[in-house]
Amino acid sequence: MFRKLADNWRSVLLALGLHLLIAALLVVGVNFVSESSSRGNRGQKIVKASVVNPDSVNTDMPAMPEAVSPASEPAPSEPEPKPEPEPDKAAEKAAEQDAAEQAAREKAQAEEAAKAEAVREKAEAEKQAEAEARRKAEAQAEKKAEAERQAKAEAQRKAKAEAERKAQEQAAREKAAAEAKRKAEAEAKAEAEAARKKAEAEREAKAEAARKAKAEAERKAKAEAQRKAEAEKKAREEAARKAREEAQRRAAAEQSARESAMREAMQREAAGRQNAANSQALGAYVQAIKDRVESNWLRPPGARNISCKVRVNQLPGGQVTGFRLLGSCGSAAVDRSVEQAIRKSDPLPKAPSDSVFSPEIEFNFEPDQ
Amino acid sequence: MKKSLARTYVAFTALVGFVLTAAAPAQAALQVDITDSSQSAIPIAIAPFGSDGGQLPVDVAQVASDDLESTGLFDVFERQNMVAKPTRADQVNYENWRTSSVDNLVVGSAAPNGQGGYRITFDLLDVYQGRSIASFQINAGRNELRDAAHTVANLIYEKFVGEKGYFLSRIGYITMAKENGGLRYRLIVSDYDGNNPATVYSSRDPIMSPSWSPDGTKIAYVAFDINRGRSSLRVQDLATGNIREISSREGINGAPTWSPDGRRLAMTLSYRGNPDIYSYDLGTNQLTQLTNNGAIDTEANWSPDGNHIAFTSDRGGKPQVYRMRSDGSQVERLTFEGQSNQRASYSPDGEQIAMVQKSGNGFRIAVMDTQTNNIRIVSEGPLDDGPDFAPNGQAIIYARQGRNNELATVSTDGQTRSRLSQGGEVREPAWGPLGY
Repeated sequence: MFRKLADNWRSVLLALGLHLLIAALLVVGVNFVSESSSRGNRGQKIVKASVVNPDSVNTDMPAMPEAVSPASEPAPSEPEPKPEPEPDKAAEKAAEQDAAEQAAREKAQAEEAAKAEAVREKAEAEKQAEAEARRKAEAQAEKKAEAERQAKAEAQRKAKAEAERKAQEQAAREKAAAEAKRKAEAEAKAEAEAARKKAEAEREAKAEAARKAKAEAERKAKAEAQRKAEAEKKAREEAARKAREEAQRRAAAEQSARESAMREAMQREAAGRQNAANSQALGAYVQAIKDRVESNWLRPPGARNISCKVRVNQLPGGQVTGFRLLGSCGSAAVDRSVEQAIRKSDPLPKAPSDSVFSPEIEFNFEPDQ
Repeated sequence: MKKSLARTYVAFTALVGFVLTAAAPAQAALQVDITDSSQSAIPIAIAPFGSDGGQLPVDVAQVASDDLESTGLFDVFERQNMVAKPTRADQVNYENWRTSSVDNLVVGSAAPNGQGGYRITFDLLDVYQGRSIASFQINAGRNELRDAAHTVANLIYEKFVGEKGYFLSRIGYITMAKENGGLRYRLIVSDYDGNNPATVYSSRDPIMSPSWSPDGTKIAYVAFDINRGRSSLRVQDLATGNIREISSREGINGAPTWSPDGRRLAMTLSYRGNPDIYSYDLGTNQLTQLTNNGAIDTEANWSPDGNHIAFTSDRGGKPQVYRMRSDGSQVERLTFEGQSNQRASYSPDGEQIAMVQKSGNGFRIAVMDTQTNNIRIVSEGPLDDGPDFAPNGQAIIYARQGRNNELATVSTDGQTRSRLSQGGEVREPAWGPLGY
């Protein structure tokens, strides 16, 4: 297998590089978001979710040794227990003195009470003393042996502790060296990473600026388009509103006109049905009178600025019963021509019905207007 | 709010309309606007005047009828078509005249006035009213019946037209006839219709440019003396025949016209080398040069207010009508139409100028409106000359030359013409004052 890898070292390197690149891109991608989110959005309501990568978080932090403390630091060595002090000889002598005194006193007493006792006690005391001495010697020997044994154990323990301490120190030293090495490597790596990150950040900043500029332009364009669209919409709505109002107004006017027409029609009906027909008949009647008088009026040649009114009274048959000039028409000749026109038109056209007949007609001679 | 207001207004309008409609037949007069008139001539009949003293030497009714007919404004009913010939208003059966569509009837008679003359009375009857609308009485001398007839026409004319008639006016003109192997020129003065012609001056040498004094008592004209090689500009008193020579300077002495006040004569003189217009004061004999131009300036004519003088000048190349103030200042050209324009003559009201315009149709009489400078042609040509306004401004007299030499009159609107035939060649008519 290693041989195979060695044989394909290029591929391996490429694969490694690709992995690294992917990792880097991941890191960059995450950072891209977190970076932008960290710069704020100038008050824009753009909600962004940033995915936080623990690695990137770590890398954001100041470079630190990866492991703060080695888990395998040698525990502080416990103090060696001190050997229990041997019972004091002086105390023992004092006790022995006490006992002698006691014995003396008791002896004295016993001598006083019984010299026998004294002997037995003497023997006893001697026996006891002897036992005591023997015990004392034995204890002393035992004590000495014990001390020797303890000293030996202590020495052994101490040696072992020393050896252990030494081994531990050696291990600590080795570990420190490894740690230093690792730390240096980590620092170098962090440094490289920082440089990479810096470059990355710069690139990202550039991209971000470009993106922001683009986004700003787009935002502006969008806002402008929106504004325009709104204005157009508003104009459309205004036009529509006006059209609606106009339509309403017209409808109202039509309604009103219809109502008034209806009212007029009703009033006409109330006033007399033939009045509706009368206006037409009246128009025709007036035109007939006009035609007749005009054809009979011989205007004096050269007479200018003719203007006058004439009141004529007539009978229902059109016969003229009265002629009254309301002021001169401009000259006696014109006055005469006007009167003759009326006289020549006598009888005037007969009214088509009593309803349009008027016993008085006012002629307005205005040929020059 | 608006709506209710509008509704209120509509209701109010409807109410007013209703009230008017209902009230109209009862109270308000029917309104009829007359804006047009008939273009027909005025129908009139003048019945033969009666006479208490036998046959009248002048057919007064006929003379008056001819007067009215000549104007083109009257449609005179012919005597032969009259069913009756009443001489008094109470004899008239109006219905007959109405049937004949004779709107107006004149009836009258003449009787000796006890002084050798006549008293003429007549009535103007409105046939449709069936009554007299005007009665007149005229005294005439024994030989004044013709003038009396013209007066009848004048009175009727004024009644219908509104202007004074010109039937008593006279005209002056020049005739040229062969006589005794030579030409004879005459300055003639006659009635406006050519009757009663009288020779004022006669010569074998040419006579030109007669001009009436405003009061009609004198005529200024130019007489040539071939032998002396001179022309004489003179003023002749018509009553006495006295001649006052105004100018016989070397060169041209021509085209005299009277100022409206009759105190001055404008004329064309060339004694200084070039024909220019001068003003001659008849009271002081002072001569004032009005134009001073290298071109020919001639045919001066005073405006009725005396402020301007129209004249002919070829200073623009061809003869055209110009106008200047009567002191010679502010010369302006008036005519631009046609090939040439000349012989300007003011109307009595100063609002028109008659002239001779030369165009592709020859020489025709044109009338220019002095307010608008619009020109209209009123004669047919091709050789019309010497236009002059009638004293009431309603007609223009001019000379027609060609196959028949004659004088003609035309109404100022160019509608009607009549001819005053004369023997021989006739030129340069000048229309005198009204004569009354």
